[in-house]
Amino acid sequence: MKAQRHNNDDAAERRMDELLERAHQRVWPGADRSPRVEEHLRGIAMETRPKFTVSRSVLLLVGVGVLAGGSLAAAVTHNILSRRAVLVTDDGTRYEVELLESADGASGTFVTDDGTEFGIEMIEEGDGQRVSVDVNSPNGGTSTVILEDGTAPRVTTLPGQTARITIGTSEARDEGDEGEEGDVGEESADDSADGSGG
Amino acid sequence: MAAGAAGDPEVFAVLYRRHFEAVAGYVFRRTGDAALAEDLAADTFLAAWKALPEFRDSGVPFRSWLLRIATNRANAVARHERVRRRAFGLLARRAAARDAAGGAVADAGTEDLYEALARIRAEYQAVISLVHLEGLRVDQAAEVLGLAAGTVKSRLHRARRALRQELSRTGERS
Repeated sequence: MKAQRHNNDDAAERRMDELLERAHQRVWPGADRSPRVEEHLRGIAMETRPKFTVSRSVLLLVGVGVLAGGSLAAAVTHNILSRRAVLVTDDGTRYEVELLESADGASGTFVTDDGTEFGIEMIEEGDGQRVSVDVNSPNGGTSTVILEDGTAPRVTTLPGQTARITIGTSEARDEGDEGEEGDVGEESADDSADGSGG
Repeated sequence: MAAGAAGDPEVFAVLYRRHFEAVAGYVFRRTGDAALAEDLAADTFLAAWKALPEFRDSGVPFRSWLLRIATNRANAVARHERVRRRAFGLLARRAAARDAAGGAVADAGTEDLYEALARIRAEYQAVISLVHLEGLRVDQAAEVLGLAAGTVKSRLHRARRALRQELSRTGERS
């Protein structure tokens, strides 16, 4: 009787181990990503970007926010094309636009509630050592590019003019070069308005 | 790298992409339920993001820390499932539905295993999953569970006995 029970236990033990081994061999049949986590991470990335405020009668505020810490070249190459731009109008309404990638930069258009269109175009120059941000500010005013290091080159334009803000290093560096924080900043914040308006 | 991911979504994203399959696979092998595994794996990473500041003090490798979170989540689901079964006297054959949803076909024996696993205590499910389904050594399972290796060893012994009994009952029912 006891021997019979012992044999039964052995058989049950073997069956259990065999089933466990089969389950051990099972491979995850799903995707290697989770849409829920991906979406959450995108949301966090948005939240952690710099927040912008309006000063005076500033009409347009463009958040680039990619140039802190590392070299400009790395920032341009790896980050700038995926950034959102943020527009805050005088009444505090906030608009966001995903800049569309192009061969040499990125661009996007804000359309505010009253139908006014603001355009922004970021263009890489000098093998990625400089970035020009063109801002089409239809009503004129001051446009600012906020950088993560706290610098904020700005330019004032008349209605219809396009403001150009150039951000870059004074001398070319190798791509991926890790510059000191604060090493990267605005080379110029000039008004190179195209003269098409105003 | 993981310690530096706190507050940095880009670093965390790299870690998540590196470990997601492992975590989802672990829950899948434990439950046999692909949809549940995906859900719990996502929960695990969302919880990990929030708890990252605590990771530095956990003293365990990142993957073990993730498996610990996943284990706690899976345990909670397992406890709920056991209560449900007790309350409603369900003899649910969930494996077919599970695997249909997950696109992975389980044979009858594997279904029996998951049926039996669902009937034993969540803590027993966890230790069996880590050692037998994930192939971890006892000391590695102990690291995940935050227990002494001796405790895991004795728990594993009791867990195997409980599983064997449930497998026998499952066999008798079917």
